[in-house]
Amino acid sequence: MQIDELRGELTTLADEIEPFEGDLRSLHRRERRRRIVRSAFVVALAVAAASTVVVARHRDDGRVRVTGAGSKEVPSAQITHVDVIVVPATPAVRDVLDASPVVRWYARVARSVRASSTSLGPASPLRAPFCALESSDGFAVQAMTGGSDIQQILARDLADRATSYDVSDSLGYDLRLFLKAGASSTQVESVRAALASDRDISWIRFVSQADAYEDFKKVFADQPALVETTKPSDLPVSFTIDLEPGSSAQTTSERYKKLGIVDSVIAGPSLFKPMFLLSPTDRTASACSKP
Amino acid sequence: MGELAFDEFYASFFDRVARTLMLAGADRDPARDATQEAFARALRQWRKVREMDRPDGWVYVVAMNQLRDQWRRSERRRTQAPAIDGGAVDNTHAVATRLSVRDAIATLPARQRQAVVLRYLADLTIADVADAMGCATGTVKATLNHAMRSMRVELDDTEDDDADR
Repeated sequence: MQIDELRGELTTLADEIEPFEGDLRSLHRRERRRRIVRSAFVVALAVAAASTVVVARHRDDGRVRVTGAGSKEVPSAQITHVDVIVVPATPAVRDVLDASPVVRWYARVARSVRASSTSLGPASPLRAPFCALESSDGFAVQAMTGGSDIQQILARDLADRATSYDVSDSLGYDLRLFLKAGASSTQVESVRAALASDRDISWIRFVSQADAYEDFKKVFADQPALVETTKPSDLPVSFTIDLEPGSSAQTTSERYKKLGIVDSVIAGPSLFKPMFLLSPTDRTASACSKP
Repeated sequence: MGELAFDEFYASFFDRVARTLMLAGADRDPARDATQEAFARALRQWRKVREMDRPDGWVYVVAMNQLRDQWRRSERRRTQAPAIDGGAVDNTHAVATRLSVRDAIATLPARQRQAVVLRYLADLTIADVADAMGCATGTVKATLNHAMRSMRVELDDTEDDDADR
């Protein structure tokens, strides 16, 4: 048999299959919806980042403890990223934090934080720590290295002396860089390489579509129908980025926006952190009201 | 070229891609779903896809990858080709002499059939067939060679050198 005969026979076999009806309209509908969801997701994350200012305003009353040698307690302004919140703030907890190799610094967060109901949904990872901070002082802890499993380590070391809350994804990055739909693995790797070699950037984390979907579920927890009909593949991949101290978020952001494959760059919550730790007491109603 | 061009592309190729997937071993519903998903991705990236030499080739590859994911998820073994050894080939040769071309295609192990369908019906390059099947180009060539021998198809001399075609 010749190859042409084989091609002919394959074509005949294909022709014998019952025709398929496409559904172009649903394809366009889905794409329009995906674009809306994608934009809404990015906007929601940007708003959530900015709203940490509203979420957690409190008075820094200057009660910075006079620390002894070897203590890692610092004034709150010195904390550049909050990775874990520990509540309550007791001498025993302080001892654990001072002794822990995974803790870089920590600062006291005074109670009287008000968790705003407009900013903290039931599924927000910030809800539990901020609600705990309504009744006790706590510590905002910065990890020695980004991406470490500091919360798990502290939870183990603290045992029942205090509760530790992982807020690194919510409070711990400076910029989030979204790639355009359909970015190939090669393009993702080229962006990763550019970020990794950037002197203004100290740490990066890739957020896959599956990870983004987990975020999406939290952001839109109050809209189950939307979550149900959205697939991980509808969401953009992104990188969360920590900047080196002194680096400009705006300059870095503008630099990466110029890359063809980068769709958008939003400010992360940690850029608002100084306001979070230093701004005056919020007078809004609490989202932590008891049932 | 905007939405209209995509619509024309969809109208021209949806049926063809779905049928090809069925010949490659998919059931009807999975073939339709994988094809629809591949076109959804093509629409999402239409500005890039429309500039390709073979936009339909890209859709074939994405659709096959969808199918393979689906097969993996449902732990169906249809993509698992039996080990190819001398005995198996000899036996298939013997069978092929008695069967029509059509039967010879039907009796090919799953991966050989996939490779043959993608190469000679969808007219994909060896490199694209490799992408679609998730293997190396060398594996595709070997798989096609076994299939051709089983079906007693005379190979074109250029076959081995067209990976970049």
